[in-house]
Amino acid sequence: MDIKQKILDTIEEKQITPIPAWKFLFRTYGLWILSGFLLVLGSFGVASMVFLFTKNDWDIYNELNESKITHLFSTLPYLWIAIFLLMLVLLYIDIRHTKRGYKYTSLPLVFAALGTSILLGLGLHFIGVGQKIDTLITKTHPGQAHIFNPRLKALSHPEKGILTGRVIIIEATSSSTTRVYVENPLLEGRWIVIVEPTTILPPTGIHLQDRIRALGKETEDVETEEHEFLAHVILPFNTMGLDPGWKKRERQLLPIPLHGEEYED
Amino acid sequence: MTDYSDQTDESLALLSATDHDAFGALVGRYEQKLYRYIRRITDASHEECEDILQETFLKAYRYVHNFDPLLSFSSWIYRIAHNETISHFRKRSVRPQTIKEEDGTLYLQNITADINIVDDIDREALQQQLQEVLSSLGPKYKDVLILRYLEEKSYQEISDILKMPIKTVGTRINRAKKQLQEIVKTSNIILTP
Repeated sequence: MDIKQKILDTIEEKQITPIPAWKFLFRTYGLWILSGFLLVLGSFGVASMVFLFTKNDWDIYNELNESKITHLFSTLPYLWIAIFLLMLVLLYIDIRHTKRGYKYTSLPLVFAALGTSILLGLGLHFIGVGQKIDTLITKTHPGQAHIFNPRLKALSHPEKGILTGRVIIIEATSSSTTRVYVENPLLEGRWIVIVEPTTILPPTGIHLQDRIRALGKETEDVETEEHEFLAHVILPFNTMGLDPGWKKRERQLLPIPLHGEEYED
Repeated sequence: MTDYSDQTDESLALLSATDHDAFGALVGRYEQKLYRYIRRITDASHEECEDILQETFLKAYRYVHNFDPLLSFSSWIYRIAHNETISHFRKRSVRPQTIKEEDGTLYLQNITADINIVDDIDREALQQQLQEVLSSLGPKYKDVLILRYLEEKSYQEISDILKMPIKTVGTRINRAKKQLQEIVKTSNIILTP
């Protein structure tokens, strides 16, 4: 029997039928949708990295007695970098598995994926997605937020003269001193930032739920044994921070609102 | 029985899902070519080659809706044959490969034309050397050489069959040719500039 007849007989006998077209279409479109999804996830990583880089305490890093390089490496968002690289690798593998993915050579494909992720990530950063992600993580997982944003840890060293936290209570204790209670999940206990008339404040003042950075000195209230931090300078948590303008500004003593509006930082 | 002689392979492939005779016509067009190709990339027996060939066509039939009309049908069915052959021998872990004696002349004719070997060399000796070189080449080089010099496929077709970028096909062919040239050189065979 010739092979042609044998094949046709086998199809007939075993009732072999072609696999439905929709299954292949599902796979084809599924792979491209997955590519798009991975690209967007990678771009979220880029947007977050750009956001964190621009808000990386460039205005105070030398106050921490660090060189620019040491500061850069100690605050690099390694988890975001890892997520971005993972998405890039998965995107590469995914595109390779598309119907015509084999046609692309590795290097141009990697550069195309990298370039597209970076461009899309920059776009997302400019519309504020990086900041939204950072805010979301900080609000929903305050205890783990420093894994995504290592500067939270770098700013949580009152013994070195730097403290960060979210303002939960503002209490005017006298005409000249204000106690600002801050919440910082990386530090034990409750921290009180003491604001004196000589303290340099942000031009917009301090509001409840603001995240602040304070430069100063750790002290301890002997009576209450609470952690206190005598602030010389209080800065908003997220500033562009490329120009340490606060150093040049004259001392400003702005009224601290007791019931300020909540700001998204 | 319908006459499909004026139909292209691609249009027959599209008809195959609903028309067994159209698929039969495709089998008729490709059974010899694919049988020869399977024989060339393995050292399998006649029966084994027929089994692989049958599996190739049955798979092509089941996957006919996955045929990409932007590809040539020939490249698509060669790809299936190649993959089926690999799968068949995966159990053995090694795919036996030798260059068949009957292919030697065609191989020699095509490959020497490509590397500019002068005409007055001892072709019989060269053929012997070629077979030695080719049997020492890895499967990835041998596969492209067989498709290029025995199946006479273009770089584009080889790229579609082996699912690799054209650039890689070119690189592999060039590397294989360089190795071949090295052997030719050490054997004192004169090459044209």
